[in-house]
Amino acid sequence: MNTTVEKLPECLATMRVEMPADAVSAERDKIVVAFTRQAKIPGFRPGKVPRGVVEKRYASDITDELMQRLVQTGCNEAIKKEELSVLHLEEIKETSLNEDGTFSFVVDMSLSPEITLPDYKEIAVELPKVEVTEENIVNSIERVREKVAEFEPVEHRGASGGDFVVIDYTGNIDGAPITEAVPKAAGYLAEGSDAWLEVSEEGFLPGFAMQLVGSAIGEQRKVIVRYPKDYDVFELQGVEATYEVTVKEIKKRNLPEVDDAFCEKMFEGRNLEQARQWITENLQHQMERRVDEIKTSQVLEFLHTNTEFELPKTAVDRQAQMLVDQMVERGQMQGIANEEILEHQDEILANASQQARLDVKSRFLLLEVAKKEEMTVSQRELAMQVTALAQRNKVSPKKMVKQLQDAGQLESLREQILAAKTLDFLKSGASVSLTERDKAPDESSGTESSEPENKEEV
Amino acid sequence: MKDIFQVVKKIRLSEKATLLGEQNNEYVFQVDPKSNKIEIKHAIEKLFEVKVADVRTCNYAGKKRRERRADYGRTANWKKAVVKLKDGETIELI
Repeated sequence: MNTTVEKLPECLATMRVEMPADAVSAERDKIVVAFTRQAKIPGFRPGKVPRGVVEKRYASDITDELMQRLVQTGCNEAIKKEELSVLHLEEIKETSLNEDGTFSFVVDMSLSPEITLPDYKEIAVELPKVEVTEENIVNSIERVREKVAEFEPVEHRGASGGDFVVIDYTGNIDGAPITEAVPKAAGYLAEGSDAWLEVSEEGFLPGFAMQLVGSAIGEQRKVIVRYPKDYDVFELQGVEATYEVTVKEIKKRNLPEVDDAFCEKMFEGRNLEQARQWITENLQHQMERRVDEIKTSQVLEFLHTNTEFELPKTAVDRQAQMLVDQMVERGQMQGIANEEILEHQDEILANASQQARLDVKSRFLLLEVAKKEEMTVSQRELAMQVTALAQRNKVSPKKMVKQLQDAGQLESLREQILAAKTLDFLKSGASVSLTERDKAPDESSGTESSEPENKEEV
Repeated sequence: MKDIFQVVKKIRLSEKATLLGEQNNEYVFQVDPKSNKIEIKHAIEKLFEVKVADVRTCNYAGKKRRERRADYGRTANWKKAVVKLKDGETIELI
C-alpha cells in the first residue's frame, strides 16, 4: 500500500492512499461470496446462484460495497502505518477503481495537535481564604429584613433620608422630553408614574433622590441630574437632564426586629441561633463554591499560558457554531428580535470563536493530561452521568442512552467526564497559597435588588 | 419460415440450465410452442453465430392460477428447448 501524507496548517492533513490489486480482488471475493449467500434469484435455490450471475446481477451494489470497505480498511491501515493521531476524517474524495485493479482515494482529515505539557503536578494557585465574618451574616439578615419591611405612610413631615417616596416624573433635556431627545433610552429614564424611590445617595440616578429631601406630599419639584460620564446609555453620558417630579406619597420603612419570632417566620422555624448557624453554613458553601471556581480558572489559565500549539480549525469551528446556536437560542428565549440578533451577528461570531478557541484548547489539554496519567472513564461513571442527564430531561435512562447513541454523543459525553475528572485531579494536585483577600458573596439567593424605583408594589 | 426473433423468446436461467451449460455445452431457451427443432436450430445459429449439434424440445402446459375467484385461469403454455452446441462453440449468456 502506497501512502503519501501532506500536512497542512491548522492541524489539517491530506492523505493519498493507493491499494494494491491483490488486496482489492481479495476484498472483492469476500463481498461476492457474501452476496452469493444472500442472493435470491428466480430459478435458483438460495445460496446456489452461480457466481457469474451474482456478479452480473449485483454489479453496482458490489462495487459500492467494495469501495466503502476499501476506504475503511485503507484508512485504518494507512493511519496505523503513518502513525497519525487522527481527530476526525473530514472528507473522502477521488475514490477510483483503476483499470490495473488497484484502488486509490484521497482523504482530508484533521489531526490531533501535538502538545507538550508543562509540569502540571503542582500548579500554584492563589486562593482567597474562606471565612464567614460577622459582617457577612449581619448583611444577609439585613437583606431578609428589608425584604419583609413594612411601610407606614408619613403625612405630617417632609421626606427625609431613608424614607421612600412614591413619585410621578418626566425628564427633559434642554427643554425637550427625553423620549424625543433620545428615543432609544426612553422607558423608565424618560418618565414614570407611581414609582417607588428610596431617598438615599444610590436611589435611581446619582443625586436624584437626595434632591427630594424635605418635599411634602403633593409638592412638585425640579430635579437636575447630570448623568455620569460612564453611564450605560451612550447618548446620555455627561448630559444634564431636568426632571419634573410630583411627590404623591411619603412612606417610612419599618424593619422588623431580629428575634426568635422573626427568624422562625423567615428561616423555616429556626430560632435566632439556628438561623445564624444556617446562614453561616450557606455562606460557607457559597464561598467554597466560588473559591473552587477561582481554582478551576487558575488551573486552566496556568495550562493555557504555559502551552502553545496549533488548534484544529474544524474542531474550533464546530465548537463556535455550537456556541453561536446556544447564544441565539438564549436570545430568542429572552425575546430578542431576530433583526437585533442579525445586527450583532459579527459581534456574536467574534465572541463565539474566541470562546471556542479557549474551550477547545482546554479540552485538548485536559485530555492530554488524562492520556499521560492513563485515566479512564469507567462504565459506572458513564452510567451515572447518563442517569443524571435522563433525570434532567425527564426520560428513562434507557431511552436517554438510545438518544445519545443515535446522536453519536456518547463518546463526547465520555470525553466530558474524562475532562472533568482530569480537572479534579489537577485541582487536587495544585499547591494552594492563601491570600487574605476575602469577600462575602454579593447576593444571598432570593433577595431582591435594593432599587425600588418603578416598582408598583414592594 | 418464421422470423428468428419470434422463435426464441428468452434464455432460461436456472440451476439446471447452468449445470447443463457447464457439463454438456448445452443451453436452455424458452421458445415459441409452434416452432420445430429445425427452426430453433436455425434461429440459434443466426442469433448467436454458433454451430448447433442437437436440439431437444419439451412442451409445458400452463399452470392453473387463481386470484381470489372460484374459477381459475391458466398461464400460457410454453416450450423449452435444450440446444447442444458443437464442440468448441460457446454462448456468453451472462
